[in-house]
Amino acid sequence: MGLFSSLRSGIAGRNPNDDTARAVLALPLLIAASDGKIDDSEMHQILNMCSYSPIFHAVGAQRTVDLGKAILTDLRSKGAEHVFAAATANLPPALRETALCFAIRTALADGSLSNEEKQMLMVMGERLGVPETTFIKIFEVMLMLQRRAD
Amino acid sequence: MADPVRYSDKRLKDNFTAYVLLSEPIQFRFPEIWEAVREDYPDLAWAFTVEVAPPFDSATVSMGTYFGDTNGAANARHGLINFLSTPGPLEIDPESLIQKSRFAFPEARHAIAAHRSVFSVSVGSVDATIPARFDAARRMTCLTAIFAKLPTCLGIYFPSADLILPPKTWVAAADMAHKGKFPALQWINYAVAALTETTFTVNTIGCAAFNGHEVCMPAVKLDPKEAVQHVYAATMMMLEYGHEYRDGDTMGNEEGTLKLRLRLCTEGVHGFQTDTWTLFHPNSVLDERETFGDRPRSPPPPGVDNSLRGDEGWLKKGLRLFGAARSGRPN
Repeated sequence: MGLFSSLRSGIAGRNPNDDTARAVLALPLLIAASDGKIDDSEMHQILNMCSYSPIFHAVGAQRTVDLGKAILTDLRSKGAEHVFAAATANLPPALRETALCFAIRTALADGSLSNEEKQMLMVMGERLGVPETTFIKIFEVMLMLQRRAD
Repeated sequence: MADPVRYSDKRLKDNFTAYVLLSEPIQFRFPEIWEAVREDYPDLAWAFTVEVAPPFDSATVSMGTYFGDTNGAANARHGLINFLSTPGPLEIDPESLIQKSRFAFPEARHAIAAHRSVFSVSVGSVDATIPARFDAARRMTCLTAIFAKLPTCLGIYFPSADLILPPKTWVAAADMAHKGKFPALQWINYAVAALTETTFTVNTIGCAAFNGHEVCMPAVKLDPKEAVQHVYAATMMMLEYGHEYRDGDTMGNEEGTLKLRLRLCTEGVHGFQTDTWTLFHPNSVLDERETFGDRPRSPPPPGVDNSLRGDEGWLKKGLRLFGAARSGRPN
């Protein structure tokens, strides 16, 4: 349930590009934090991934780093549920798929998928309204992308 | 007053309604909405009644009926405003709507599939003149644009044009209408039907809500974009320039190299649901005289120029007069 007053106050004076970038970035960070911590290498890997996306070109590299830090602060102080709800509210339909791509790729970055990550990805997909068939397609492509040489 | 019998007349009595499609239910109190529309669209002289209604909750059966002013029903300056919600998503035929909205909203399928809650806003007009109809449509558009700006809004369904539109496009329509410009691409659907690979029919859906007439260019061998431009020009001549066509009139370009013949097809004839201005292009497959019979008037004598260019500021002037008449002061 959304309250008109808080939804409207949330959009006042905000930069839409900033909001979108923050929302997309929140999902991979949530996945990376699902084991209770995010180390520098995980953060670095996510920021590398962002460098290929026009969503983050629109806000610039430094702003992307700042947004990542702000999300982590929110994650510690307000919790994962709050961060996910705020991201969902700022993601238009097409970008929900994009954010999910980032999240799945982050989950697969170390070559394996933990149960926590798997569970979290499924919940994300469902709550973002991404159809199961689309979710599976994204997952398969990300698996192809993360194949090892050996 | 008795309800109109003809569908073309009924269209001019219909409320303008839009459905707000949301990713999750929304709850609000009406004074918050009145404050938001006054803030975002101040030029429309909103003057809502004070109300003590319970909060509106789109997850339940909720409703609210308000006057846009404090004069009550007998002297209403603006039509009634109705909010209505029922739990769950909107029950519509998605395939037909997605097809009709394919140019305006390529992501309509996703918006329809993802929405979990919906509510409607309707605004009635105080009379059937174009300024009164425009005023009702823009008030409804501005009211719903308040919700279209929220991140949880996925789309707006506007049944008068049978279109679903992206929130940003709907907000753009509200901004345009707020300035007294006709947002034709949002309030009117220019539907293109391919009869063969090279022959198309273009017809409007929604023009009749403003003047009781739709516009159609039937069976023409022409680039569909060009056909849409002609139909668009014909609608704008009526709705923004105040042009009143007569059966048999012609419409041309500035250079005088093209002449389109306008014939009036009354409701029920040739399968038209409403009175329709039918545009015949030189590349039309149909013969205008065979289809509609002789023209009712003769061409002007040589040397007499009967051409009318329309009045570019007609709608804005009409809206000023409408506002002044309703408020008793210049608007």
